[in-house]
Amino acid sequence: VSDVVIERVVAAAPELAFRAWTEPEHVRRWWRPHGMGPTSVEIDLRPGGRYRIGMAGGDGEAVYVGGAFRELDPPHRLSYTWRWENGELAGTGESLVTVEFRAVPAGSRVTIRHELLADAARGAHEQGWSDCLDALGGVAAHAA
Amino acid sequence: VPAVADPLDAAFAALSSPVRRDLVARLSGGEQSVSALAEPLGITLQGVSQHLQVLQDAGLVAREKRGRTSYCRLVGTRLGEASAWLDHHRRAWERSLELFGDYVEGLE
Repeated sequence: VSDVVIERVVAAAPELAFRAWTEPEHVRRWWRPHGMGPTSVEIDLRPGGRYRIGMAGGDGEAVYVGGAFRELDPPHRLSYTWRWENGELAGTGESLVTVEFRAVPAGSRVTIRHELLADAARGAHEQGWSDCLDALGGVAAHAA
Repeated sequence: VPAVADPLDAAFAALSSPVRRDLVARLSGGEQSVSALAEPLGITLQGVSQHLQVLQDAGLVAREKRGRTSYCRLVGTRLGEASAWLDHHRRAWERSLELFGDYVEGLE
């Protein structure tokens, strides 16, 4: 697979879920990828507006991820570019995050898609890619 | 920043071709000569050589000439980077969505 897709149903309406995803005071409360807590959250929520999130783990130094909003269709959908400024993933290029909140009886179905942004990588979504990269994962482990 | 300037983009771009994915899949069994790689594809040596060059430029494949024969093998690092990127973000999003769900459910 050339992208990551994660889904979960949450017991909250899309309106609330969208706000919790995009408003800094909410983001500060739940944003902890890999246990790194947020040190700063800046969000300019409008098309072309930028965001930047700093986070730090136990060893202290903050890493930053940021980008610009592409699509904003509250409370259903938003997409934004994603680039690590420093840390181990700096230099892995720009990617695109698309988040959808669809109303379901239990609340909202949240779907996150994170994909590499190069045109060529989009072309790579064709069939066969997935199996290929799965195989590569095993190969890489051997060859590394 | 041009897409090709990024090593990971170059790797994904190189793997966007079915022929090159096939080459990589077959090289996963171990080193092979360029002519052995060309044979089942029914394309010329020159054709397969061009595909191998793209894989080589992307850092996915290494080519070595021994005597009169060129041999190719996979280079693990770049493949590892591509799958590491995906693994990293998958884990981070799984965790984030879990925490987000717990948080947003607590708001109502």
